[in-house]
Amino acid sequence: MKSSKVMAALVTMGLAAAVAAPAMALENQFSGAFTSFYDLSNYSAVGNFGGTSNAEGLAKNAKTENYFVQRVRLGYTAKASDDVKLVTKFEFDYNYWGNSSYTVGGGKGGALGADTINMETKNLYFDLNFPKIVNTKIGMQGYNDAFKGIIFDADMAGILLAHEYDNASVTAGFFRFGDFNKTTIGRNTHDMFSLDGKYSVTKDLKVGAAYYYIADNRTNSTFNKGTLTGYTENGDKIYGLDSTTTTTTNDTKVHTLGLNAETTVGILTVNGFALAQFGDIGTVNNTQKAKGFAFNVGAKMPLAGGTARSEFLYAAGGKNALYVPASAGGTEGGGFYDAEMIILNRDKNATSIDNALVYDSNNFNQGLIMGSLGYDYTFTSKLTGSANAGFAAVAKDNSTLGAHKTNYLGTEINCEANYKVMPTVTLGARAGYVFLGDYFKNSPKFDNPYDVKLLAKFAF
Amino acid sequence: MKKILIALLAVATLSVAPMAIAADAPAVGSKDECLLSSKNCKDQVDSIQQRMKKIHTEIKKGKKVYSAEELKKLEQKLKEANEILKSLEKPGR
Repeated sequence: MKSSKVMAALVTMGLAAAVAAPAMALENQFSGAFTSFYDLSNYSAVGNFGGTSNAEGLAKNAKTENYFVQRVRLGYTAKASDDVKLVTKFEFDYNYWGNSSYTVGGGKGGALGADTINMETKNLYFDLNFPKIVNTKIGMQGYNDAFKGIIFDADMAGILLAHEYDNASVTAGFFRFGDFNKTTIGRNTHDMFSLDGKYSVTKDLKVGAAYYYIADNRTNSTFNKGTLTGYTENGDKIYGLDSTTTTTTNDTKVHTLGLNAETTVGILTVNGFALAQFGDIGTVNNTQKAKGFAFNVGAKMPLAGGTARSEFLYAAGGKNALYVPASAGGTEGGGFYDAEMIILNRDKNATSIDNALVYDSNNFNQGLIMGSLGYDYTFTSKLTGSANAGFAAVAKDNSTLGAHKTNYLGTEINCEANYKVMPTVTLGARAGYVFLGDYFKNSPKFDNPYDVKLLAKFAF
Repeated sequence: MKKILIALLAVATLSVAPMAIAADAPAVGSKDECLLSSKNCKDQVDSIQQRMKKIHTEIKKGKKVYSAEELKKLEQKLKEANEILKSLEKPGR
């Protein structure tokens, strides 16, 4: 081949690449959020992630704790086009300033010197519109149920397909919650299949139906300690040959089926859901029927220049308690944030220190009856405020958690104010107090809990 | 032939360079707002809030400016931006 032809070919390839480059170029989208707050509370934060009973964090003559919490979330999205993108989100928490340094672990590293590996990977997924009418998300993504997140609201690995019609939308998904079998991967798994549909009957009426099938077939190994025979040089205990390991296999198959709706009548907007569960929960040869059910009604309307809100939730307890999937971190059910409580339910501002009198809708198999009233007011374009009051009771007392006088957990009042320094920056304060109910009135009598937060937020 | 090609490549290369320089440096006599107050930087990108505001402004222009298909696309982008913000501020551990 003559050198001029080689040159011509190279130039042609170069021009072709130059023309093609803009089409292949990526749009880089960076996003992030910083949250830090000072917390003053007698509702103890030590080691609280829901705890082992409703009383976790309460105490008689409760001491006041004060600490600073910090969270940063960073997101990066690489968009090749409107139809192809990679979505990532990472989190860096300090459970509280001063906790540790030069170490490894989520939430650690807030002490002098820092230097801690504490990056948490939240989301890593591929978002694809192919064929054009179907949106597919593949990978670790945030997903919640169509019932205000009371069954699950978490990051999970899976495949979610979505299609939108003119007045409707449908999603179908498969998610792998867990697969701990060390010999045959994929054999003993914890999986979910989801099907969720929404339909706009009119501009003011939307109805939906959702079905979730969760199957847990994992094996569990329990080490039964024998006689203590000594210690390793690191101080770990050594147990004798009479120690045994028991292996059980989960045999849980829970179907969750429910309806949801939202409608606007005049100035009033009402939404709600009803769901029921059926199937089996337990281990092989030791299962019980899943019979959980729950319903909710929420409403809001403009009132005196602001917005009035209300929520009511009933989640059954005892044999009818809801099945809520759990992970190594505990329950993955949501915190019913719509009620805007601070201590009765999980606080929307809580980060890695996150506790509540009612942590999830299963509530130690007791269920939940709760109602709340709230009011939001915009004072100026920069200053907003809210006030809320709510009550909570267990639907059915669980006596294994101790003796309780009644089912009534307590009544909360709280308020908050937020000032937008600029569109990206918000300074705020939020305070709440709970009058404990008779559920807690047996010995020891706990102090009524309170919590005050001063917050700084930056989101971009 | 070879000479012509080399000349074409040289012209193409030289024509790109001044553009890059022009984008980096402020005009003679004007202040470098990027150095001074982090404004008008070459690589500046919108915050989510700015992005949402811009999309809102465009959607408001309505069918006088955009076709139905384009408006739908803008609404989709607004939904995406909302989802990103919601995800960043999502409560929980």
